[in-house]
Amino acid sequence: MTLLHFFRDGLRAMFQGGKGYWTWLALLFALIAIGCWYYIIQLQQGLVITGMSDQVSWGFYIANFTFMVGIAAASVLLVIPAYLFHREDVKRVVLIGKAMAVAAVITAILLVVVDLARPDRFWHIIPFIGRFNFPQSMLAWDVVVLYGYLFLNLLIPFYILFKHYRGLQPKLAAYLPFVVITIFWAISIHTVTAFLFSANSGRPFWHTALLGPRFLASAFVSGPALIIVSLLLIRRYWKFQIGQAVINMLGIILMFALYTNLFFVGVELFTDLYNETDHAASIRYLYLGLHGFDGLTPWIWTALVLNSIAVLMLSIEKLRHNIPMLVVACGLSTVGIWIEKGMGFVIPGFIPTPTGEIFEFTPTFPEVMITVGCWAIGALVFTLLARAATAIESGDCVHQSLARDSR
Amino acid sequence: MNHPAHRCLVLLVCVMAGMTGTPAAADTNNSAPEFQVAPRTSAFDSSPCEGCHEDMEPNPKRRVLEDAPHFPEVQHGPADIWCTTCHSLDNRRSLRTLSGQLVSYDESHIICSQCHASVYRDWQYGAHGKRMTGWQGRREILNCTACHNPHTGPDQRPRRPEPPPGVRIDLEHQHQHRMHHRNGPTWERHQPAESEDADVSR
Amino acid sequence: MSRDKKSKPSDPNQVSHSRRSFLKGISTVTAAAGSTAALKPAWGGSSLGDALGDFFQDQYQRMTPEEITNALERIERKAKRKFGRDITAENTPPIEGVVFGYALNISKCKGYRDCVSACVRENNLGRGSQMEYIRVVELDKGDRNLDHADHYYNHDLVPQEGKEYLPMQCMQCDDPPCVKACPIDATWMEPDGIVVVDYNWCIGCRYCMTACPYSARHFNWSEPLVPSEELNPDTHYLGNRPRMKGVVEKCHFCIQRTRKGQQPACLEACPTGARVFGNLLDPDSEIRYILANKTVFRLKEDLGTEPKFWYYTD
Repeated sequence: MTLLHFFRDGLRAMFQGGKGYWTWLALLFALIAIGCWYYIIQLQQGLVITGMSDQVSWGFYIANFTFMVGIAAASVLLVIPAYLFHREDVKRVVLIGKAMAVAAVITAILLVVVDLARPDRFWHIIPFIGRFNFPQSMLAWDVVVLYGYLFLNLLIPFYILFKHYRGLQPKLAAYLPFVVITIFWAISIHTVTAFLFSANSGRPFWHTALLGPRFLASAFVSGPALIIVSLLLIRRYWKFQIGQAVINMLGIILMFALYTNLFFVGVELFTDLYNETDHAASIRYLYLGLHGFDGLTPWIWTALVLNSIAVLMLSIEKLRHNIPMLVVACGLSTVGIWIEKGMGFVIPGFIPTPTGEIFEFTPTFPEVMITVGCWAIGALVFTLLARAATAIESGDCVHQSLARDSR
Repeated sequence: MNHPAHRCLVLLVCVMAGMTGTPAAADTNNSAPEFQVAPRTSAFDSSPCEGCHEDMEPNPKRRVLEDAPHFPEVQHGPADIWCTTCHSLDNRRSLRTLSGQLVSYDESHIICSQCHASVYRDWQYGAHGKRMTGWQGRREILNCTACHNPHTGPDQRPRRPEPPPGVRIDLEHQHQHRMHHRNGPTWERHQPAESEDADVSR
Repeated sequence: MSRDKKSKPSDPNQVSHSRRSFLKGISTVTAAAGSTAALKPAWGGSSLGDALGDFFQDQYQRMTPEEITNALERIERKAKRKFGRDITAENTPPIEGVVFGYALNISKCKGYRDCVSACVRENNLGRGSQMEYIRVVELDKGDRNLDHADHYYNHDLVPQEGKEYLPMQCMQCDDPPCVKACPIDATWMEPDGIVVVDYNWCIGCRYCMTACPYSARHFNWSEPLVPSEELNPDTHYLGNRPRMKGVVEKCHFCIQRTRKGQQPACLEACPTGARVFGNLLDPDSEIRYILANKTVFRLKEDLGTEPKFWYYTD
């Protein structure tokens, strides 16, 4: 019974808000509706409405998927200080980080589903009922780790919030093992996603051991950046207490991750271009253009510039502690990483093809709108979960028995 | 490889078989897989050689055959051959080896094998030519002259290819076929640059 | 040679599948009856019964012979509705003691692309979508670097001077990265060495396409269109039976022909005799002679995929 009240009160808290809050929700619903509209067209006509081709067979959907898995993994940066270093101020916001992880994983899964050409055959991938090629297929591994991560990030917050909702203290012994698992699992979701690409020995641009570390480094840029911006918004608009020390900690992590990321970019460029082999064709296409084809060069150089500006800003303590400047740095680095991981990573893996053909890719409008729809669903999930979590954590949303007693 | 007398016997068998119109099976080179060759001697029915040559004196002198309805001269690469290198003067329905043994038109590959030994071996074993039947079971291959004209020179002539690959629906606008600027062959890099770009013209 | 011959049909409407012409007539009639002719074909060209049958169909390697027979009949019915043609869909099993190999003499290839178009016709490839299993590239003589290859050559005459031509198609690797990649076992290597796709099982994730080092796998981005009069009616479940949008397909060594002892369509079309096909397990085969005696190579040998498609020279 209490459980039902928990869900009922939680849902109520999710949809409680002022004009600004509802405008935000309305915007998200609108974007979701547009995305659904185009997705129905895609179901009818096939993936031909996207810009993908035999040559570039993964496009905007998987590019955004890769970025999203990184965001999901980054919540571990709150989990570790909160539970392993027992920082109470971080503990206060860790559930918001987990809400972001849940939202990001759901978005990632949605992006894979919209990328599937035959979602009507979804049951084929269910283990035992369908035919699941685990452990050979890296895609099967990705399915396992993503759903497992989703489960973990719903389980722990559920336990903690349900306890807090009833005015009780969660037992550390009960959830700490799951927390430890979550920490390793977070690293693994992005490593497995990296392996998805690096396993392809026929694509030298991806076939590097550095891919796992690169993915994590970029995830630890875009994740904290989005978390910082979300926390600042929540602190400002939902009047939820968040210590500045948390923001500062995330800012420093972001800075180190950005330096690491830029270092990795440099390492890749040197390794490929010093004694240039055919394996460097994709990176040459990306940064310098190849045989007259240079559709991606403006993008990647923009990303490099954005990331460089962001890291310089973050290196100056005065700027890092200045909220508006911090937000700018977060915005620049998020966009920079998004470009780098999406079009700067997924697309060049297909250009040139393994048989030497150069065929470029541009996402179509329907493809972009479906992606935006998935992002909007993620934003909606995050908003609602964070809303409920902050309501419970701040004591606003408690079980009616407690509310009655306190009067 | 084949003792001349041995070969003579084989050829005799071949000639006799040729006269009946059924091609013989394998060579005595017994490691080669068995094969059959599409017969050619049926062409005699429509244009019998005796029609003209019955009344003509055999003339072994090397010359250009003016007024002849067939090849006036032979272009067989750099080889120094003439009609009577392969054709029998005395028996128009036969070919002849360099040593004068008669060979049926159905076994003309034996003539070619005298000089083109390595290709001949490839042809016997299937690395050259085309298998006209299925990949297993009875093997029928084409005679050399089905593809190569010994009178006029090698091979098929250049022709128009089938169209290039298509581009995915709705992406045709995107694909622009640009010629690659390739590095030229290595020796060109060591020579002084010419007045025009050598690689762009390709 | 038929796993597809049934001993006792359990349902009089489900005829054991063979391709003798008089049984064709029977199967068409019973198919019409079996699909409850009263229902309109609205489900992508199938009746409701067929659509449900398709939806619940298991992966090929797990289907019972009866399920396979049903699947074949559904394919035939759907083709009849979609194309107005009677086709036969078969399940000719692999021949014992046979592993197929292919060799191509690049000294002889002149770049005509006759193989490409013959394959399109034989295997019912979608015309509007421009799908082609074979890709012939033009290279400078002496430069076998694929990054320098011209895929779209369109000269008036081929062969051009100083050029070589290299046709590429699925290499039927013995250690296929695509098979490893597929998350649902929709693609695997058959006992006769052909790497096949179960088109009814594929969910269209295209991970196999990223894994293939030879750009050999192709995708139906839209519904493949074959003009009804050009449809090849002799089909195999794992081969040239009509496919649908959203699935991957590729060269399958003309499985509908080669499992009956015939040559692949590309080989038959090649006017120069550059292609040789046969049984790698037969030491007396033409292909074995080539591998033992000619200068052979395979593409991307260093990747360890062990292609069963070799190239050789005169």
